[in-house]
Amino acid sequence: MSLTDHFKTISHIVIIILSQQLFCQQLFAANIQVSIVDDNKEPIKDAVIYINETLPKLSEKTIVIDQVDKEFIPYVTVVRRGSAINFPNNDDIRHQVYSFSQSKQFELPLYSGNESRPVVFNKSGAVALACNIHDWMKAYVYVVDTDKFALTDQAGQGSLSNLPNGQYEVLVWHPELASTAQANIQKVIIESSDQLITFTVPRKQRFKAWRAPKSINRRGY
Amino acid sequence: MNLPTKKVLFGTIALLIYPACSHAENSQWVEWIADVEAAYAQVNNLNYSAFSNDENDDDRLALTVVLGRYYQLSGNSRMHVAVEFSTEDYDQFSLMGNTEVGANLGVRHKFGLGHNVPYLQFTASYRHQEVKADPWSNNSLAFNLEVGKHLTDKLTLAASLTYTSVDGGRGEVIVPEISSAVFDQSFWHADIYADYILSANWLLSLNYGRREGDFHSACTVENVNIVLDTMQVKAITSDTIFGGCVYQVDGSNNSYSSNISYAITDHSALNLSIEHFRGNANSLSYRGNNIQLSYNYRY
Repeated sequence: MSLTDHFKTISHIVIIILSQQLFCQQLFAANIQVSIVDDNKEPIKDAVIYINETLPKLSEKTIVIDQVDKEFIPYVTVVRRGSAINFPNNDDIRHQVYSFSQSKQFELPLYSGNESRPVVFNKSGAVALACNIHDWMKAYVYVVDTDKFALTDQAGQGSLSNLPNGQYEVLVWHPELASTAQANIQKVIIESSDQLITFTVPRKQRFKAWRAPKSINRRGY
Repeated sequence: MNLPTKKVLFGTIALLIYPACSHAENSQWVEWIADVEAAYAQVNNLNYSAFSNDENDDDRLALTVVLGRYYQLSGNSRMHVAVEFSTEDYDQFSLMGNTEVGANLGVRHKFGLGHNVPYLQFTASYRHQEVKADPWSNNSLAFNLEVGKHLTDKLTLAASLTYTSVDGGRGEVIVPEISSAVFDQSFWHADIYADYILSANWLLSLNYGRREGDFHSACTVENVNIVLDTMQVKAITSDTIFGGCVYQVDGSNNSYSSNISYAITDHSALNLSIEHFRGNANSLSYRGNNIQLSYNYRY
């Protein structure tokens, strides 16, 4: 057998192994459907669901958090550690975005349009955003160490897709979560079929500064 | 305009111009101001009488429009310039109906970066009020200094001090040795405000205000004689609105008010206000209650 034939045989073996791996992974991949409700059984929108794991190197991605009608859009953004976020200003006025959170402290001085630099989030955890000009503007970035994450929809539901068989810890986070760490974690075993889990978590309402108009003061005596 | 008023006015102008010039590189016109309020009120003791048999109540409809713009001086400071138009109509005492045109200029400075950082605001305003009963028409100039702070996500406190100088017309002379310029007045007003967010759509506001200085009161001729006997009246004239006399005294007034706001959207709200006031001038006391429902829109 020539050297070329040996090479061909090895190549075939490698291809077969890789195909089997891929086949098996697809066969045994499953989803975790997550539902999050509060004590009153009300669904919690914009909650972050993620797998408790720390991946050694995460692919960097640039995300956008917009500013429209003096509000951040979206309210909650979940990103992988190392991701950069752009904060374009689509209002025709200037904003001054800042955060005092431990996971990321930064300030974008007064700017309009696309003048701001991207901000890199390289530490996991919650980051509260605000605007110094418009006190009611609030939003959150949640930085995770995994690439398996999702946000809940209006019905408080989200899905972690294509997870290989195995045991996982599923965590949830939301700005208004008042529960202990234990209530925010559930262990799930994936054995080829989809899993449905529900988190019931106490909620502590947080309020943005008041924006709607108050009565114009018509002082009498 | 007297000398102290001029000093305050020129001081205000200097205060406004200085930050505008010092931050000229970063300054820019920003948001427009367009506020509208349509209000219905039940006014108790509209004439601010010290005598219960003289108190007059009425219903009032009011429409106010404020137009203006903010000028961003820096990340911490902004100025606003606005003009205000308002009209009031009364059900029974229609001569109290009035229109008002005013302008105001203010600077607000926030002492740093963050939600809970306190602010200081200075506002100068000028108003011309044209009342259907002509002697009541007046021009007023007011200077207001306000300091405030978000204490928590839910609670905001503010305190303000206002000096107002009113220049009114002269009415008919009815007591020769006493002036008839009842509506030439000056007074101070101190206020404390607390705003408490009850939920995403409901806001409760409480206000305590104290006024010191001149005020006017209208009552029948019989009761005015009691007033003339018991206290120092600074000015007096006849009154066509309530059919007696209107006089000016120096005294104080305390007002306690609460307002509940329901946010319909980020730009509009319904507001219900209740106010109770109690005034004193020498041995006489004045009291009343107001209740107002308004729809407010902000651009």
